[in-house]
Formats: sequence, C-alpha cells, structure tokens
Amino acid sequence: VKTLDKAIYTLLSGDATLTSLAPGGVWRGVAPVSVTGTFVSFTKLDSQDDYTLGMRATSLATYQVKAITPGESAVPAMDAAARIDALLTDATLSLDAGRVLSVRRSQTNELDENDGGERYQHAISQYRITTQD
Amino acid sequence: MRVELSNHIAEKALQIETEIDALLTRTAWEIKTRAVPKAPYRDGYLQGSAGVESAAKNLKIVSFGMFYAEYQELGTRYTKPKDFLGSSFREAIPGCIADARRIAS
Repeated sequence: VKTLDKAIYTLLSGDATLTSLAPGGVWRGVAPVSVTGTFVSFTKLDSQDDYTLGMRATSLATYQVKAITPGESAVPAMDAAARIDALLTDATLSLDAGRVLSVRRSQTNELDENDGGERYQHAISQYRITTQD
Repeated sequence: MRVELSNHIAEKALQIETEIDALLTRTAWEIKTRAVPKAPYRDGYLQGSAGVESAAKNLKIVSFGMFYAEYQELGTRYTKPKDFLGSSFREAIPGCIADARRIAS
C-alpha cells in the first residue's frame, strides 16, 4: 500500500536537484549514523481525523521535513529546504487508497545543534497535508 | 436643544481588545497545560521549566526554559522530534479561533 510516507519519500528521493543538494539521501525518521554530508529526514508529527455523518471525511496530518547539514554554515541545509518546499507545496502525491487534497507549508524553523562541539545545521519545515479516504 | 449623533466604536474596540487579551491568556495556559505532560521526562527539569509570560497586551509567550528543550521539540541529528509544544499549539488553536470569532461577532 502506498502510504503518505511512501509518497513523500518517492517524491523527494526521486528529484535529481534535491539529490545533488542533499547527497546524504532522504530518510524517514532518523538517518543512519553512517550518513555523511547534507541529508533530508522527515517525520509524521500527528494526524487528526474529521468526521461527517459518521464517516471519516478528511485527515489532516502534520509532517516535519528537515534538511540537515554538518558544520557551521546553514546555507546547504537552507538550499535543500528551498528545493523541498518547491517539490512539496501543492504537490500531487498519489496514494493507493484515498487521495491528497492539499500540501501546504505551515511553518519553518532553524536549529543549530551542538553535539559536544560537533555542529549540525537544521533547516526545518512543517507541512500540513489533507487527505481523503 | 440639540441632537447628537455618535458611535461606540472606540468603546467596543476596547472591550474586544480586553476580551481577546483574556482569550490569549487562557489559550497560552491551555497550551502549557497540554504540553507539560507530553514533554519528555527523565529528571523533571524540562517539564518544570515550562512557563507562560504575558509579554504585552495581546502577546503571550509559552516557553520551556531548559537549553535542550528545542532539541527535544524539533529532534536532533540522532533523535526524532517529540513535538510536545507544537502539537499542543495545534490542538489549542482551533478553540481559540472559534472563541475569537464569537467575541468579534
């Protein structure tokens, strides 16, 4: 079954521009420790269902998508995040069951992670995705 | 003898502003109340660092004061995001908007 997670992964990992900006790949959840360079990870934060006449009408999911790059410069992560936004905003995501009604970014954030002196720059975006069964 | 024509816009605006300020305070406390039990717990410092600040009229701030709060909220290179504050905001905001509409109407 092609779930929303799979659809996002397929879209992001299949883009040559994003692959060049984030050669570390696209990962659901946490990337393996062995990954080097800029990479992308995405996580489903939550999903709320909306019912009409006893039927589930729509589901509103929030996904956090990050571009993470090692080092002090956030530019590679921000470039990758810009490409992610171009791909995801109003994207046509195909599912085996149901359909995606809208994909819109709801907020952005930045994080300068300092792991014992080892720095990682995070360019973070959250997307609200509405689906219908 | 005279006839005066006037409106009560300024008075009504002040009333709405005061009610919205109270609504934002209630919503900020609701966000904090929802977020604290969802925050990761090991020694209690993170949960205990939650606070609500009335920074100005119509500006309320919900915060977690521990330095690692944003790492827990947004995730790190090696950990997934816990989203305790963001999810609480998303849960509380529809009620806040509905109440704001009631006040405005």
